[in-house]
Amino acid sequence: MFQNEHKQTSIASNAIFTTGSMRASKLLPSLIFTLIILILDINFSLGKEIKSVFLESFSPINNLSQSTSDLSEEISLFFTSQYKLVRDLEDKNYEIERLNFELLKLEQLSKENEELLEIMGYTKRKTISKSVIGEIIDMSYFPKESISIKTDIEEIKEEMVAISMNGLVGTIDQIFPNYVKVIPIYEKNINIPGIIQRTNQNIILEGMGEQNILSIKNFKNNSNILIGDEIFTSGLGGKYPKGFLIGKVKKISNSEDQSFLEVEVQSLSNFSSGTKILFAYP
Amino acid sequence: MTEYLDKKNNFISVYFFIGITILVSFLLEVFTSNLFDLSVYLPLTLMVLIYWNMALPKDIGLIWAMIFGFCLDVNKEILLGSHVLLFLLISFLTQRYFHRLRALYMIQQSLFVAVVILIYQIFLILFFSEFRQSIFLELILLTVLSSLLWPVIFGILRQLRIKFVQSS
Repeated sequence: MFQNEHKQTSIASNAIFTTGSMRASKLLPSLIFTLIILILDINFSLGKEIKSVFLESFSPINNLSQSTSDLSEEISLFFTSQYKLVRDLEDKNYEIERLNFELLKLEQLSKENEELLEIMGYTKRKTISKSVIGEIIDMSYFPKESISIKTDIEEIKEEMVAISMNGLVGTIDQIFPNYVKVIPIYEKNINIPGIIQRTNQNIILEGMGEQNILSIKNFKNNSNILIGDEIFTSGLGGKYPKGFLIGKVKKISNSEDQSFLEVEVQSLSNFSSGTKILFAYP
Repeated sequence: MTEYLDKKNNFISVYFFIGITILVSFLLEVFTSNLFDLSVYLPLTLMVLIYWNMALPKDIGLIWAMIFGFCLDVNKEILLGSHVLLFLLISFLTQRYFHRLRALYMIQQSLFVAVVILIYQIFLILFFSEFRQSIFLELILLTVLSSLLWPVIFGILRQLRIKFVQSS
C-alpha cells in the first residue's frame, strides 16, 4: 500500500499538469549575468578575444558550408554551362553588331571631317618659318581696336602673325611705311583654331571684343575641360603657326542651350608700349 | 501499468539529450546560414529551444539557452550576450505559458513560432545587420519557412523524446 502511495506521488510529480509555470525570479540571475557580459563587451570589447579564440573552432563548419556551396555551384555550372555558352554567344553577337554600327558611324564621321577640312582649306604645315622682331608703340581703339608695332617693314608680309613672349598677339591688318597695324586676337569675328594641351582636343576660339577675352565656339557639354587648362594654336588652316599659347581657361558655364558650354579663355599677352613682338609666318 | 514510473528519472541523460539536439540544430543553423548570403537565417536553435521549453520545461532550465546563445554570438561575431538575451526572454515566455502553448493546435503553434521568430529576426536586423533592400523579402520568407518547418521539427523531436527520453 505504501508503495502504491509512492507510485501515485511519482505520477503526480511527473505529470505535466503538475509542473508550475516559470517565475520571473528564476530568470533574473541569468538576465543580470547576461546584461553584465553585454555591458562589458560594449565598454571593454571583452568578446573580441573570446570570439577570436572560439571562431577557430567553428571554422570546420564554415568550411563545410563553403565546400557544399562550391559543390552545388559546380553541379549547377555543369548543367547550365551549355545554356550559359549559348547566352554568351548571343551577347557577343549582339556586341559585334553594335560595334560594327559604331564603326560605320565613326567612318562616316571621319569622312565628314575630311570633307570639312577640304572645304575650309585646312592644312597642316610642317616647315619652320622666318621671323621679324618689332615693338609696340601705340594702341588705337577707333574705328577698330588695333596695335601699332614698329618694325622692319621690308621683311613684313601680310600673312604674318604677331607673337609675344606670352603667346599669340594678333594678325597684320595694314602695313605703313614705319610701322604695322595688328588686329588683336580678342577682336570680334576672329576665329583661331586651337588645341587644349591637356586633352589634345581641337577647338575653335572666337574673339569677344573684350580685352584679352576669347570664347570657345560650340563646346559640347560632355567635353573634358577645366579652369586653368592651357590652349595653344593647333596650326590647322595654316593661318596661325602651331604651338603658341593663346591663353588659359578662365570661366566655364552652361549656355542657354544645355548641350553646350560657354568657356571663356583669357589671353596672357601684354599690349602695352615697349613690348617686344615677333612676326612669324604661319 | 505504471511500470515506466518505476524507472529512475535519469536527469543527466535527459539534460544532455536536450543539449545534443540543440547542438545539432545549432550546427545546422551555422551550416545553412553560411550556405546562403542572406541577412536573415533559419533560427533552428531557437525553434528547438522553444520545443524543449514547451515539452520539458522542468528539465531544460535556462543554461542551454545561455550556452548556445553565446555560441551564436561568437559565430555571428556580434555583441556578446545579444542572442543570449533573446533566448532567455523567449525561453522564459515559453516556460511561463507552456500549459497554454501545449494546448494549442499545430497551426496555432506554428503561428506563435512565426511571430516569435519575426520579432527575434527584426531585433537582430535592427541592431546588427546592414540594411539591404531585399531584407524585407528575406524576413517574410524566412518567417513563413520557419512556421512551415515548425510541425516537422516538432514531429521529429517528439518522436525522439518518446523513443529516448525517459523523464517526464
